[in-house]
Amino acid sequence: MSADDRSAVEQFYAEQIHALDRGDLTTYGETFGTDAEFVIDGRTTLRGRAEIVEHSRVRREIRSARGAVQRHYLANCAITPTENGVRVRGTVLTVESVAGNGARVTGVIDCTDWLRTGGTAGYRVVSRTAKLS
Amino acid sequence: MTTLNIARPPVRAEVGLHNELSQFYADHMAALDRGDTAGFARGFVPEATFAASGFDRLVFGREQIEAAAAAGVEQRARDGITHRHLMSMLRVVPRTAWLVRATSYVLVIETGTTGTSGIYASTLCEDILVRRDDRWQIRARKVTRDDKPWRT
Repeated sequence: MSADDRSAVEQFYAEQIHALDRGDLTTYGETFGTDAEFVIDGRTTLRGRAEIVEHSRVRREIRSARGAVQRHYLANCAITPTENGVRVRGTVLTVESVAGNGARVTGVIDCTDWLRTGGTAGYRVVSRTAKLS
Repeated sequence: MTTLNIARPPVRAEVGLHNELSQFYADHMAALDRGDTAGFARGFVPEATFAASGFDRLVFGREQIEAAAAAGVEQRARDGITHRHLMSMLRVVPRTAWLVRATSYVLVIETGTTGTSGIYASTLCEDILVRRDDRWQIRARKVTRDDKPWRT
């Protein structure tokens, strides 16, 4: 895989995660396929873009009520082209900050995505599996 | 063995820039973390501005940026602590061939005298870069500490 291929995927995730963390859930939602599936820790399965966005909206409201800001730091991306699309495995560190109270790690998540080309961000997630470490 | 080509989206201008700026920021943050404040300051144009929600004032110009960075390095040395600036989630938005907006997250990790490390700050770093003298340089930087938001 070329450096440009890797950069295209990294730029996609930057656009998706910045949108999520700044609360632009319309843009965030558009980075998923309309029928995308998001499995969280093997227990919860979100089906479709609307459910995925609604889940994030509710979680964001809960954090905002506590005055907390969350960022997702994605690292260690392994990018593999396959016949079914692009598979990306990475580790996400979630960090939460509260004004006057510093920042803390709230989660370490193993994330596996399947991407297809499309959308203004270049790719769309068609399947995501997130597992808390 | 079959080699599969990656499914590529349409070519976008920011992809090549993303690669180039990733290298720029790796060098830029490494210079700061090893105390090479002159090297860190060379990443800014001479008339650059640096605003941070943790600062009490706007810093004007490369010289003042270097002086502020050096003061921080010296203070941490006196206190026996080190900082590492871990940059990720670089998002590049080209404006023209010579002007680009780059937004990233920087997690600042502090290691104290006991050897214990922890998060010093989680930040959003918003840069405007210009291409000058055949290299990218920061014209304006705005850093938002999530635990010290801007006062409205």
